[in-house]
Order: sequence, then C-alpha cells, then structure tokens
Amino acid sequence: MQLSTFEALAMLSAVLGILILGTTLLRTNLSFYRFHTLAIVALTVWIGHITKEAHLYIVAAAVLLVKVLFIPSFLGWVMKKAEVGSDKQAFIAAPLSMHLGAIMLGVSYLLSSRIPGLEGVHQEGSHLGSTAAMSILFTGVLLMLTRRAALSQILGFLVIENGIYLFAVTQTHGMPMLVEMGLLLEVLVGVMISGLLLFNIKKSFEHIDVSQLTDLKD
Amino acid sequence: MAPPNCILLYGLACLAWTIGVAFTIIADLLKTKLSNRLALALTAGGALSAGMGAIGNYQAGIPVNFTALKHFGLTTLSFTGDNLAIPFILLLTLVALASTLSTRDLIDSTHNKEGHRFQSNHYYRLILLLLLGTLLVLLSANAITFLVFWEVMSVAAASLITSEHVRHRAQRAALAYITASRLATALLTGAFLWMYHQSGTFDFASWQFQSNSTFPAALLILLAVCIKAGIWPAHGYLPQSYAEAPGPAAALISGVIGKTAIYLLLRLLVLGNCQHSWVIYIALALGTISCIWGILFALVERDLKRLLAFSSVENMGLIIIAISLSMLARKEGLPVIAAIAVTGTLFHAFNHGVFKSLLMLAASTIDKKAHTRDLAQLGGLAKRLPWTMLAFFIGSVAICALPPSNGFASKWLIYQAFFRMAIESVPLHDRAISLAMLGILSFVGALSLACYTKAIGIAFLGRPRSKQAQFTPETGLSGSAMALVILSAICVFLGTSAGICLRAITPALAELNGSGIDAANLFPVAVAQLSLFGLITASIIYLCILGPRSTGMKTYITWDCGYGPLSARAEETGSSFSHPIGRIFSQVLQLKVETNITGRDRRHFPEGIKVETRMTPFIETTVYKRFIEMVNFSSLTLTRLQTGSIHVHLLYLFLTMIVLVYLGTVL
Amino acid sequence: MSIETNTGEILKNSGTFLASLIILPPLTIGILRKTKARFQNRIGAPLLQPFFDLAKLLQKNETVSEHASWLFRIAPCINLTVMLLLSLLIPWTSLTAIPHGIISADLFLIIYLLGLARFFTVLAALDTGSAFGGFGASREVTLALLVEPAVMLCLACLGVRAGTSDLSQVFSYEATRLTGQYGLWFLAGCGLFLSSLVELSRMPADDPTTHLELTMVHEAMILENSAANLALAEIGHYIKVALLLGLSWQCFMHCLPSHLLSDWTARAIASTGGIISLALFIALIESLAVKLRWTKLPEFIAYAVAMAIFSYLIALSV
Repeated sequence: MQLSTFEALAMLSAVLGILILGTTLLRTNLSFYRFHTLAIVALTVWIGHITKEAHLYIVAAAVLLVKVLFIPSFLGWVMKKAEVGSDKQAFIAAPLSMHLGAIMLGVSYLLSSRIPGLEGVHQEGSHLGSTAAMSILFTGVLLMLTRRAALSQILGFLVIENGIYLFAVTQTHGMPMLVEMGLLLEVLVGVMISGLLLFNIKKSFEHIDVSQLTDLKD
Repeated sequence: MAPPNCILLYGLACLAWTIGVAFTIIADLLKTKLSNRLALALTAGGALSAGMGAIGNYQAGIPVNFTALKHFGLTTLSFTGDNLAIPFILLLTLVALASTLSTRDLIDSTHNKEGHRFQSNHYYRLILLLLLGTLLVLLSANAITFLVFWEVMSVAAASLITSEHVRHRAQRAALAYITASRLATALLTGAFLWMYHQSGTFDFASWQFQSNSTFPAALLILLAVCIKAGIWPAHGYLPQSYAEAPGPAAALISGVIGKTAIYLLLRLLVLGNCQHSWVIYIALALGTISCIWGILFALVERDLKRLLAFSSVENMGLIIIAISLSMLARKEGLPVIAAIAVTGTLFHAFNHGVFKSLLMLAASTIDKKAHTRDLAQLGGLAKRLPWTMLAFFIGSVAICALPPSNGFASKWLIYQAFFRMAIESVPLHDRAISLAMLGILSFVGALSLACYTKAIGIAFLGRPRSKQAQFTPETGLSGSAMALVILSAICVFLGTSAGICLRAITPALAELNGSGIDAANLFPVAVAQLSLFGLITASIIYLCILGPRSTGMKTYITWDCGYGPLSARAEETGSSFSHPIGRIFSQVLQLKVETNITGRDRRHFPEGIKVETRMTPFIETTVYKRFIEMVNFSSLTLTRLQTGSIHVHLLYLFLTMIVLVYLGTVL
Repeated sequence: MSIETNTGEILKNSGTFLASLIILPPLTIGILRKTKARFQNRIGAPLLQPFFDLAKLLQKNETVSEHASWLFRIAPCINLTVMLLLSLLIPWTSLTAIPHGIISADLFLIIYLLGLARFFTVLAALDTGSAFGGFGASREVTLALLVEPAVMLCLACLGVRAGTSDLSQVFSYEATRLTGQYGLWFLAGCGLFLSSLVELSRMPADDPTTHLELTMVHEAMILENSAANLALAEIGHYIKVALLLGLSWQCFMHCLPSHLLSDWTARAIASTGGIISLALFIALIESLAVKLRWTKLPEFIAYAVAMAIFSYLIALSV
C-alpha cells in the first residue's frame, strides 16, 4: 500500500514504540521512548498543518518539551541516582514480548478497521491512525505486564499515555488546548512523583522489583 | 507390459517372501540355521520382483486389480496396484535391497553382551514378514485387507525391535512400539467402521470425505496416522524403537514403515478429497509442532540413532504439513498449489525414505564397529570409515535440504506451495499462516543444519574421544558400505535430475489431484546446471590454487596454544556443541546444567570439575506419566470386577447379553 | 522479462559486474578497516591491504593439522564456489552478469545455498578437533538459526508482494508491484542489514579484531586454515560481505525517489556507493559500540526478527 505522510508517521511511532519492548537495558528503552514520542510530535505538527488548527502546534511544542526532552532526561537522572541499569528477569523474555507486540500491531489493524478515521486527514477508508494508537496502547500494557522494574512500569504508563494521546489527536481535531495542557501537566507530575518514589523504594528495599511489592500486604 | 505381468511379479514377490518365512519355520523345527545366502537371496529376489512389478504397473498406466479370495470375512481379499502405490513400492524395494546388502555386515555373527547367539532364523522370518506385510498394505484395495496386513507389518516390526538383544531397553521399546501401533489400529478400525456405516462398502476407492458426516472418520484417520508416523505428541515411542532395532531393520522401519502411514493419509483423505477445515488445521498444527519439537530434541540428543529418530519426527511433521496444505489448497480451489504440495509430499516421503535409511545404516555401521552410539565416545571416524563418512555426509546434506541433493528439491516444493498460497487471494488467516510457515520452516531448516553438522562433526571429524572409537579402519568396500554409497548416489541423482524424477510422479499426482499437471514443470530450479557449474568452478579453484601447493604442504598438530599436545578431551563434544541452542530453548527442553567444581582453591586450581547436563522431556515425564498412572489406577480399580468366582463371571455374561439384546432391539 | 538483445549492452553489464565482483569485496573490507583505524587515531593499513594479504597468502606453503580429513581442504573451495554462484544469483548490485530470465534467482535456492556454504565452513572448523574451531562452529550454527527466519521472512515478504519468488524480478527497477512500497522496502532492508551484521560476524555479534579467539565466531572457525586455504576462506567471506550488504542496500535503494535512479550509470554508482557507505556505517558502529555479551545476542537478533514481522504484517495487508 502507498502510505501518506500521516500514515507513515503514525506507523513509525507505533514501530518505534514496539522496539521499546525489545531490550531490558533501561537506557536504550528511554532513547527509544524519546524517538517514539518525537514521531508523535511530528505527527501532531503534520495534523496541525493539514487541518490548519494552530493550537496543535503549541500542543506539539509542549509535548516536545515535556515528553521528549524533560521526562527521559529526568528518568535517566533517576536511573543514575538509583543505580539501576537494566530490568533483570522480565516475566517474558524481552525479544518475545517485542514479537508479541509486533503481532499485536497486526491485531490492532484488524480491530481498528471498525473505527472510522478523521475526515480530511486520512485517505478514504484508511484507519492506520487508530491502528497505531491502539498498538501503542497494547505496547504500553505489555511493557507494564512483562517487566519487573518500577522504572519500566513508569515507562509503560508513559507509552499508554502516548497511545491515548495519539488516539485523541487522530480521532478528533485535537482536544481543547486546556485539556491537553492539563493532561500533560498531570503526566509530568505523575512521572516526577513516581520517579522520586522509585528512588525511595530503591533506598529502602535495595531493589525496584515491583513483583516483590506483594510482600507489603497485611 | 501388460497388467497381468505385474500382478505376476507382485505375486512372485509375495511368494518369495512367504517361502522364506516357511523355510525359516522349517529350519527352526529342524533346529538348524537357514543359510544366510538363501535367506538374503529370497529377500532380495522378492524385493526386486516387487520393484519390477511396480515399474510394469507404471508403464501400464492403469490401476491393476486383483481379487485373491472372494470371501474374506466381511469382504473380498482384493488388491489394487495404482499409481499412488508405485512410488512407495519402489521405495520399499530400494530400502529392502540396501538393507539386504548390508545385512551380512551389520547382523551376522553378532553376539550380544549376555552371550546369546543371535537368532538369525527369527530375524529373517520377521524381516520377510515385515516386507510382505508392507507390500500388501500398499496394495490393499479395501479396509479389511488393509487392516490385516497392517497388523502383520506392525507385529513384525515390534518383534524385530526385540530381536537383537535381550536387553531391558529393547523390551521397553518394543512395548512402546506395540502400544502405539495398537492405538493406531484401534483408531483406524473405528474410522473404517464409521466409513462403512456411511458408504456401505469397505472399498477404499469408493470412500469420499466431503460430507460433514464423515468428519469423525477423517479425524480418527488423521490421529491414527499421526500416531503411526510419530507425530507430536505421540512421538515418544519413535526414538526408543528406532534405536533398539537392529541396523537393517531400523533402516526399513524408519525408511518405509512410517511412510505407510503417509500413504494411508494420501490414499484416504487426499484421494477422498477431504474438506474438513478442522482436520486440515489440526494436521497443520500437529505437523508444525512436531517439526520444531523433533529437531530440537534431535539436536540435544547424544545417541546417534535416537538423534536420527527424532529427526524423523521432524520430517514426518514436514510431510504432514505438506499434505494438509494440499488439502487446504484444494478446498480453496487452487489446483496448482495443491499439485505442488502433493508433489512435495510424495517426493519428500520418497526422499526421506532414501536418506533416512542411508543415515540409519551408517549409524548402525558405526554401532557395529565402535560398539557404541554415544556421540561423546565417538570421533575421528572419517579416517576409519571413509566410505561410511562420505555416505553419511551426503545423507546429511540431503536431510538438511541443501542443494544439490534430493532433499532440497522436495523441500523447495513445499516452500513454493506455501509461498504461492501467501500470494493468492485466499482468506487472510490462510495467507498469514502460509507466510508464517515460511519463517518457521526456515527456522526448522537451520535447526536441522545445526543438528547434522553436530552429528557429522562429532562422530566423524576431529579425534577419537574414547578407546572404542579407535578400531581398525575399514578396508575396501564392504557390503554395507556399498549399500550406503548406492543410496547416497541415488540422493545426488534424485536431486540433480529432479525434473526427470518428478515426471515419474506425474501419474500419481494426476490420480491424487485430478488435474493434468506435469509434475516436472513444478520444479523449475536449474539445479543440474548450477551444480555442474559449481562442480567445474570448484575443480578449477582446487586444481589451480590448492593443487599446486599440495607438494609443499606440511602436516602438523592442531594448534595447542603452546601447551603441548592436546588431549581429545579438549575437543568440542556433542553436548557442548548444542549447548548454546539448548540454553536458548531451555524452557522447551527442560535443560538443566549442573557444574560442580571441587578443590581447595576452586577458582584457580580446581581438583575436579563435574558438569552434568540433564534434559527431561516434558511430554514424556509429565503428560505420559500422568496418563500411565491414570491407566494403572483405573486398571487396578477394574481388577476388583474380576473376582475369580465363576458365578460372578456368568452374571457378567448374562448382563452383557441383556444389554446386547436390548441394543439390538433398539437400534 | 525481455532478454536484452544488444550485445554491447550485455558486455557492458557483465564487464562492470565482473570488475565490481573482483574489486569491491576486498575494497569494502579495506575501507572498513581504514575507517576503524582513523576512528582510533591510527593511520591504518592501506586501502588495498586485503589484496596484498591475499596475494601473499596464496604464495605461502600450507600447514594442515594431522587430524584433518578431506573435508578440511575442500571446504574453503566449495565455500568460494557457492559464493561465486550466489554473486550471480543474488541481486546485490543493479548490475547483472547474466541477462534476466536465463536463470531464476529463486529466493529459497539462495537461502539454502547460503546454508550449504555454512555447512561446509562449520564442518571444516570441527575437522581439526580444535576447541576453538568447535566453539566457533557451535556459535555459528546458533546465530544462523536465529537469523535465518528473519532473512527468509524479509525476502519472502518482498516476494509475496511482488508476486514472484524470483529475486531478480523482485529487485528489478522496472515498474513492479513493489514500486512505491517504501515502508516494506525500508523495513525489509533494516531486517536484512541487522541480520547480515550477525551473519557476517560483525560487531554487535562478533568482534573480528579481538585478540581472544575463544570469543570469536568466524575467525575462530578459520583458525586452523593457512596459506592458500586461508586465502580462499577469506575471499569467500569478503564476497559474502559484499553480497549481503549489497542485498540490504538494494532494499534501501528502492526507497529512494525513482527519478534519481532512472538510468543505468546512476544505479551502478548508487549501488557501489551504497555498499561502501554501509561499510562505513558498520565501521562507525564498530567504533562506537561494544561487542554484546553472548547471552545478550538473541536480544539483538530479535530486532531483525521484529523487522521481519513488521514486513510480514505489511505483506499481509492489502
């Protein structure tokens, strides 16, 4: 099939998202996340360009600032502080979970065929935007499900958030800017709090394995 | 040649084998030993006349029908030699001749450890019965005839497994084999009865599997075939039984007997145009699993014969996959793809028969000479068994499906069928499966390459790893070596002239597929030209570059890092060769490695290092064990019914009678 | 496929092809080594050093282990032959030695010919009974087994979209069903490139310049070869480098806008330049990255497989 720029960017973001699953090295994970979000930023700009909605440019700039530049750097700093380098003992071997994610991309293609695309942005009958969004959602869920380290959980949460954001952007002409900004702020605060929490977890338990948090129950 | 002649030739073959059986019985009664020469002549003569019969049958081009007995239980004892049976009969002839040729080297004068004289009469009787049963299975025209000879074949094969040794392992193997074939027969009987109920006849020719009501029969046949062919999860008995059977018999059992199951599947489900998608997808799934499973276990296996047996599981899986693809293609209305898949099936079944019996015979030769099949004890056999090495090498090239061997041609057909299926506009899931199968098959191919490089590399190359492997080198071309060389020549011939050989399959294809496609056109790869070109280039390179330098060549020790002569223990062993792969698939293989280093300063000056690799096959230990425990428990419970009192037994009889009468009145 | 009737055209084609087959493989290696040396602040050997090495090796007298069998001496020979055959079959440059349609460059044939070469190399490594050779062989088959599905799927997906298993048609520059399939070409190219890094024993998988043979793959396998035997093994390997890099570059080349590659010369220059630039890229990777630990390698190869799965999804979607 011939991809339009919009579809190519959407698929690129989905593919880069899936590549996050492929390794347990947290630093590589973070840089993949960076590229993945960068693709989403480019997509937002492109949609803004097509639909002539100026506020999307601002949203894109904000996302770039927060999710591409700040959050990965912050998490990298937390990693360094907490001295964790890789996520040992994933529940499913990292390569397998990546392949699973790739297959989920196919599944989301099938699922999203029911969802109509945004008019004017998509080609007639194309639904790759929602495919990408759904696949990113699945990727985030897989990331949270298969990994143990708390940092991966945060990353999974971020990826899921990206999926939801992409869904909103591709399905509507962008949400009201206030909502977008609020969401972004919420994510920022969430990540910062959990990053600091992680640091404290590491300090008190000597590990950041969330599967062992079951010990905390009564 | 007119049809009656081939009936005569088939009859002659049966006669020769029957006479042989009779002779062995007479010899037993007279307490003498039947002369080897006579027995072998009868075996070979029968095989030859069966093969000539098949050729005559091929030239006649029409099915040859023959009714031996008008009244044979429920139906007639009738045979038919049609185009489908011909490749299988030829395979039988070929393998029978090869194993006859090598019998004297591999069997005669074998004393086992307990000092029991090898019972040659018994052995010959069983081989003859096996051949007789197999030929007649391939020729049977109806279900009852088929079942009778199927049983003859199975029982003969099971007894052959026990014939060489009085060892506990052999007994267990035979028990497993007989259990499996019992199960297969039971399922088949059920299927045949169902089909009789549906169609009112036992004739294979009039059975069709399109309608929904035939689904249970089709499923039962598939399951029976899977058990007989050793498809996962019923593959457990294969390694045991192949490893314990004496050499020539192992070649026959692995090369031909398994193929009769494939033959049955082709004869009933493909010829009967089975269109049940459940049957197709179950066959595909089971085939795929056994492909991967078989070759993975072959890879980590230490025993050479067991390795070959596990690799049989893989190849059988491949054949089943191809058959199911052909059924799928036919269901979707794609005759060309169905034709490619069927040709691939037939050709691969034939090829596998040839190279697997070749490899089995070679492994038996090693077993005979070195008295061990354990790869960890072998090594350096290239210098001691040069002919066997050459044959094993060619057989491995063939079984890894590398060009220019016959294995490549048949595997190419299977690949091509899947590839075309993925191009066609069939439902998405079929295309997805086909394209994914290409990846899976290439994975399996790479695994089998790993497996056979291990087999050759460890057994034949390097240095001997034990005293046992340092026997005196073979001199000249003995009978078994000759058989091996002939078989390997056939492998190369079938590969390089695949076009011509496939033309011979065309009638069988026409029968199975109902289309007039010439099978030779299905394989357009110019293997012959390429291999000629390659041969010339290789010779030029060798003669121009390596040849002139041979005079100044120096022979020296293998590099030893300056530590002095290396011992053979420094070599790579079979387990260490396959260890990286074993680690990757440790979940499937349940591979555990325990390293125990002793000594005061264990890190720098170890006194003893003990590494133990353990592998527990999941299916055998967990599933089968549970099942057997369950059977044992229920049998123990059921024994309470058997009180020993005659009155209670009479009561049972009476109750059964009442139930039967009731059923008779109701139904 | 129309067979070119113009003899001059054919001569030009095959002449350039032959020249590039002879010059390009060692040159690629030379460039790779030179670039790495420059990155390490060394001057490095001359660009043509591989040629000099081969010439020297071919003049020396051979030393063969006493345990080696006939396989050891014919293996490099067969290996080189297979590589030469493959150079005719694989569409690794836009040039073709033989006009289209005479021999079909079937993708299954190509993959199994690669398997044949590997079969011989691995056995020759096991032949001398050296522990290094054994380790190398064991690793080689392990890596091959992980990479093979990726290579097969990438090529098969291209083939399925193009509707033929003949790679010379799949990679042809005439309008095909694959024209404009940038995503598929790119992903397949990435998959092939990652796989060829592993197949060619380059950096993340294997460090060809380390001092410890115990950790190597390809170099460990040819440890016992010497003189002409070694030269043959090396030439075979050089050609393999050019073939596999060329194949993945051809995928990337199809992603370029087609008007850039409209004429013969532009394509020829782009193909040659592409192989060299991929070599430069590998040199860059090798200078920046470290060799992965053996147990981490499946994770790396998984990326190649993931690319193959993406191509698979694209090939399935109509």
